[in-house]
Amino acid sequence: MAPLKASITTRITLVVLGIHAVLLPALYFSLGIVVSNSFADLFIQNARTVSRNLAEQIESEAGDARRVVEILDLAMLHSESVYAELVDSGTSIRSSLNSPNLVWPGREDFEFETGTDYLYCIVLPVARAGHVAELRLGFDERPTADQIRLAMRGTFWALAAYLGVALTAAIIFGLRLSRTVVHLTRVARRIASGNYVESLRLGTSVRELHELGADLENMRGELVGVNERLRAEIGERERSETRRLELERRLQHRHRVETVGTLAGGIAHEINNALLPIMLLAESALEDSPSDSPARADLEQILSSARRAKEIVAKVLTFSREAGVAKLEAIDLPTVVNEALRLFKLLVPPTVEVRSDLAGVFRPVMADAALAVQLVMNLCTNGYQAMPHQAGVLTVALRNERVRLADEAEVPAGDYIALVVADNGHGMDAATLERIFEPFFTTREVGSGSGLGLAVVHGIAESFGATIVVDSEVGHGTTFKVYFPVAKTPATEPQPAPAAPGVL
Amino acid sequence: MVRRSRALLLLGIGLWLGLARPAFAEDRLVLIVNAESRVTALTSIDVHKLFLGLTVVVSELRLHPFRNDADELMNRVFFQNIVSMSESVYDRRMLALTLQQGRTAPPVLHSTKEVLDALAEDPAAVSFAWAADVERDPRVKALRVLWRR
Repeated sequence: MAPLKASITTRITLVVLGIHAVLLPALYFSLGIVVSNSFADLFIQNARTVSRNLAEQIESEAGDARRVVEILDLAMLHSESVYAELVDSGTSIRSSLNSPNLVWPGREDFEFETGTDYLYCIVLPVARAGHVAELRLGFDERPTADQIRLAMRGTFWALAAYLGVALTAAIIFGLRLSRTVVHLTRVARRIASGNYVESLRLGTSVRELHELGADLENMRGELVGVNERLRAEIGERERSETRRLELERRLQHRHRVETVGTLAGGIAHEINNALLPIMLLAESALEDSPSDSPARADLEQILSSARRAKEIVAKVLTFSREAGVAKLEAIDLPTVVNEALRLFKLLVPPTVEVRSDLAGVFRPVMADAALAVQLVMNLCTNGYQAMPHQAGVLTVALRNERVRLADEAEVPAGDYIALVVADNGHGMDAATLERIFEPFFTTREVGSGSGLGLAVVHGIAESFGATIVVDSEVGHGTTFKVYFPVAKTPATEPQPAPAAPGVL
Repeated sequence: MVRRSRALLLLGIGLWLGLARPAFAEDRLVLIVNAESRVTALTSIDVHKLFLGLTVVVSELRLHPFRNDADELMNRVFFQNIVSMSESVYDRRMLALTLQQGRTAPPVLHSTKEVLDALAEDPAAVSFAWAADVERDPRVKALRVLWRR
């Protein structure tokens, strides 16, 4: 690679200067020859014409010496002659206008500026009455030489001006060319640094540069397209990776819940089997024992504990979906939600404001009405219990929702009636969210909750084919959205839509 | 030894002076015609016209000019003293004569021998040559001196 030496402008200027450094002197000297020859030819032609005319006049007039002087004087007055003499038989007849200091140099010139005295000498033989005289004429070359010098000086300055114009044009052209290339370089560097915005089209009238700019612009367009495709692919891959991780997380969560459910269901069955004889024998013993028997209180305590254990077992079985097959039928969800809210408001203190938004036309969903009521009750109870100091706002609403594409694989595509239960409680962190549907998992104090409420909700929802989506933020509350698939058949017992949203 | 050298020097000088003799002689360019020609004299105007391609008739003889271009000096004298024109003007004039009037310029001969031969064959021919070259040729005669040095 050749070392970098000069810019485009400098190089063009140097080339133009170099070419003219050769051409202009040659042109100057050629013009000098032409101009000199032209002026010299004109001078010689005039001198010879004058000489010829003068010789013929002297030949034609056989006058005396005085007349010859007159003729010579006239010739000097009407030409550039500065010396005129007729040598006739050894007698010199000179013009009275001859310069007194001028001496005939004794030569004859055939070319312009042959001597150092700037005198062009012509000698002509003149026929004079039987003999030949000699006519000597001298012409001043200086006016013509001055004209030649003047013309050459003008030529020099004209060529100098031309050189100046040529250099100026070369510099301007070089700068324009350089500006275009610099623009290309700047944009190329920006593209290399990832900035594809600036266009590479060049505002130049130079065809090659214009085509180069157009080609580079096309390349830039291709590059932009490729870059965008790459970005899209990278984004898609990132989303796929996120989705895959989420699916893995959900799958693991599901497996864990199912494992826990299976385990809990098995244990619950065994406990249930063990509870059955305890309760039967305790009831039998209680019936057989006299009314004043001190054992009755113990037996009643046994029965009470056994019943409580049976309730817990029933909930665990509900979570593990082993409590029996849910009776799915097309039900009107607003009616069920209204019924659940009516029961719920009896349980909560007035410090809890329950807002419902159940207005609208909702298609029936496939569910078990009793289990659906339990699901709503459990969600509302969970929200109420999440409120600090048992005070806050609980919002229950229904929404028609259509999921066109699986939203991060959380909810399958389809038409749903979404039950929304939102509280403004203390919310949950991510670790808590991971485990909220596990049985016996609770963040409340020991003894104040069984940790089965949301596990039961999960079991019921699973039995309905519904999907639960939880969104929670610590300090701002939690929102449960249960997506009930819309039933293909109408509701078994159509119910009127509930009243407009209000505060219960 | 010294005498011999001096003799050789004198001999050399003598030979040189003998060979250079023509250079010191007077050069005369003379107007010449065929020796048998009826033309006995031509004015300078006639000569001027003749070599400018114009018609010159003398003694009922239409003259034919031949331009002698045997040497450079003769060529220069031709332009300055015979036609009294610069070479370029003369050439233009001859060209115009040819193109406008259909006349031809005087034929140019490049040696005096050719000129003498041409004049010997043509009684109406007129040309010029150095006097020294024609003095001993009986076929031609000199009419006047055109230039001398």
